[in-house]
Amino acid sequence: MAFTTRKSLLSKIKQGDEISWEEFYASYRPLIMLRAGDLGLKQTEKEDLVQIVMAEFFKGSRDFQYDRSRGRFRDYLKTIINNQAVSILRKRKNLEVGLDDREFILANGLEQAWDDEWQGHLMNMAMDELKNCVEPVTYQAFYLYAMQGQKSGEVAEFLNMSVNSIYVAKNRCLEQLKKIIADVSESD
Amino acid sequence: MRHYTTEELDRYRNGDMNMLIRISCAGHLKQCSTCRNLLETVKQDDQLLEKVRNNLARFKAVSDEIPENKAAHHTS
Ligand SMILES: [Zn+2]
Repeated sequence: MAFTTRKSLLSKIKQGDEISWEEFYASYRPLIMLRAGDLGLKQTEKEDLVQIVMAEFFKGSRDFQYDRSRGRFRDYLKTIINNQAVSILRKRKNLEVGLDDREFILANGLEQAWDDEWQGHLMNMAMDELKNCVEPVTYQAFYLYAMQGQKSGEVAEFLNMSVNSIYVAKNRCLEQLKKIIADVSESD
Repeated sequence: MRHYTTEELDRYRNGDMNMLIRISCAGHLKQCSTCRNLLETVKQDDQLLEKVRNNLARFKAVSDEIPENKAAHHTS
């Protein structure tokens, strides 16, 4: 990414850099939990799924490196999550999952749901990335005004800025955010 | 005749500018398609912002859920 010095997790994965357990956990736990919800897992099963998926990626090592010959990371991640989730569902006493994993996902219309969750994940990472691309006060103005919906006058007073500067900050962040989203979506 | 900036148009549509400038901006918009187009873009950005806001809330809600094993550890 040309606009930031800190590499995003996604670009690290794409470039085959080492990823730490903590980094991976912080970024991917929400996505795995949301996907687990789409697949109908209960709360404890969702957490089990996070642990199993994490174990699959790290396999005893503290760091993990993505092997690009496996294809797109998003597809690889999806396959692991789906397979492990279906396997958890099969373990439930009264549930007969007669279909194979792929058929089960398709039969329940869960392919599109994954695309939506992944887009959400990218957007979330883009917001994270935005923090590294603009001045902290610019981000703060944007966050309070455009994300939390506080009034421009209140944010201006709180940050000791003019009302116009709040709008400038909002639009600067918005333009930057669009670039980041386009960039992560393109390199996805 | 100078065109209005993105920020000015953003303030205009939010009613976040003084009355005189607002009246003059409204008059300008009637005659200027460049500024009308820019105003449309600013309005469209609201959809993206809403998407980002909703998305952030969903991910934040799930991030804030404390894993049960950790929750049990905290309460023991
Ligand atoms: Zn104009």
